[in-house]
Amino acid sequence: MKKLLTTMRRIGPGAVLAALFALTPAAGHAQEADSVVKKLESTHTITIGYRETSIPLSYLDSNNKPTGYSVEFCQKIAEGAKDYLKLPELKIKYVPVTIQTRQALVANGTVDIVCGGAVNTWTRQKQVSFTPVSWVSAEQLLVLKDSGIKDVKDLNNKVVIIATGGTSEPTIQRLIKEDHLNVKIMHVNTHPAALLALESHRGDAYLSDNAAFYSIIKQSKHPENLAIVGPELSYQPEAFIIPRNNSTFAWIAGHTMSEMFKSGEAEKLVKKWFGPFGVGVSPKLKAAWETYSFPE
Amino acid sequence: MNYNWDWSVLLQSPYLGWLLSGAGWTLAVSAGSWVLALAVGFVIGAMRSLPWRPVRLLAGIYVELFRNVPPLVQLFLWFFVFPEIVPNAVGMWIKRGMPLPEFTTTVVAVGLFAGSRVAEQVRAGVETVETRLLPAALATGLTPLQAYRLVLLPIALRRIIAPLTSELLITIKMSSIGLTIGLMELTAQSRQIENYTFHGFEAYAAATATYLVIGLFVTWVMHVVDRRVTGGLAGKRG
Repeated sequence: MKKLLTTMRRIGPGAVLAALFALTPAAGHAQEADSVVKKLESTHTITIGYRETSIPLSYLDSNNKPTGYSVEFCQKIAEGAKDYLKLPELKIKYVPVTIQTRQALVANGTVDIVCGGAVNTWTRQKQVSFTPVSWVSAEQLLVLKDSGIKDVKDLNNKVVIIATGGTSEPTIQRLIKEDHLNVKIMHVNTHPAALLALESHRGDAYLSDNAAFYSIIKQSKHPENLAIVGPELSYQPEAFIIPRNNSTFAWIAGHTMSEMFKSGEAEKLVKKWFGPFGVGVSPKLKAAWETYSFPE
Repeated sequence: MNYNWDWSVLLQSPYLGWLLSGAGWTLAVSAGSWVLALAVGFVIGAMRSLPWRPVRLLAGIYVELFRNVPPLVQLFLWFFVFPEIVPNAVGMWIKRGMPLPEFTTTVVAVGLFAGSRVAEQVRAGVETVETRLLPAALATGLTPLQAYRLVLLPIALRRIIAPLTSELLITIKMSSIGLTIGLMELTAQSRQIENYTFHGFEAYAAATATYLVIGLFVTWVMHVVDRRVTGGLAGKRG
């Protein structure tokens, strides 16, 4: 028995360290430049990562085909890549991704571009690259009308729901500090779970991207009971994720999107996909697009 | 792989704090559900070995129900369905008044599931000694309850320490199902770190290492316990 324990003591920490270091050497040969373009040229296939339920950005339609605002943007980018690289054809392969898998699938080369809506942050930019801004959302509060919550200050002594996959943790911590709020935080993993928590009175307010609220309200059986309240609490520029060290592919995506911003095509997409929710091009989105409207 | 390895994110604020708090919740849920599992397991396991048919049947129904329904489904039933089928005031208390709703629900769900498995091991342990020792214990003038408490269960417990160790290790890892109802335990915090930094491999590696360390520590403690309680008998067993 004593022998067994000594062996365990010896191999235990060693095994952990070995496991960790076994992973690290993969970094050595990792940073090959322009991997996406090389792949497009050799396979004539681009792989688009899509979200299955992110309405209206990226989701499966009634025929189980990926569709949505972001997916249409990416189809244009695929066309742009085909023209720029002078490929005879470019097939599009769709791979479903989730918030948890999207980054790993880009890192290991399974997916060339993630067409959903990922908030571009400096921290994430250490790991991946982003296309120009496709959509700007802001965090706001979704509440039941009878809860009496009209503003951030009304959150005192309430249960605030936030999504684990979102970017709301720093926002709620900031609000708690600034407004000296006493709130209970409840975590959910998906937007439908947040709706369930609101409607079953487990939580009082859902702090999340207002872009997501439109589809949540649409999914609700009693949309008339829900309200979006309070000021916009953050600036969330959303874009498509592409792998790092891919300057040519980044140029193709940026150039294609810039042309869509300038020609009004992007605005048409907003009308098509967000119009039914009563949402248009916001001043911040307009500003982001104008910033990217570089001349030829 | 187009991946920028950076192990230092694990030590940065607030991510280190997230990991530590996650490990804390994992330990808390594991401890809570293990206490519940042992309590339920010993009562139900003893009941299954009793010579009274209705009691055995009742305990059998518990075991089959709780070990055959997937634990994730059980967790959802406790969290989403249970508060809606009890009287409204009780339901509202579970949802709003009960302290740490996600934690408590996970402890109950994992504990009752693990309890059904512990019960089977307790039954097996008792059955190995029952035929010989129960009549002997009763013959010395002990009541059946005393026979169980003083003779059968202590010996049975010593015999099942090894399988109980496995059960405890499974329970620790099963605590991660709490993330589906929003409990921010170790796995959930790794996912959270992945989401904010896009350094998922580092975060999951840290979680893996933490589970491994906790598991090895528990194994070591149980070995010590095993040696203490079986003592000099260890070599003469059976």
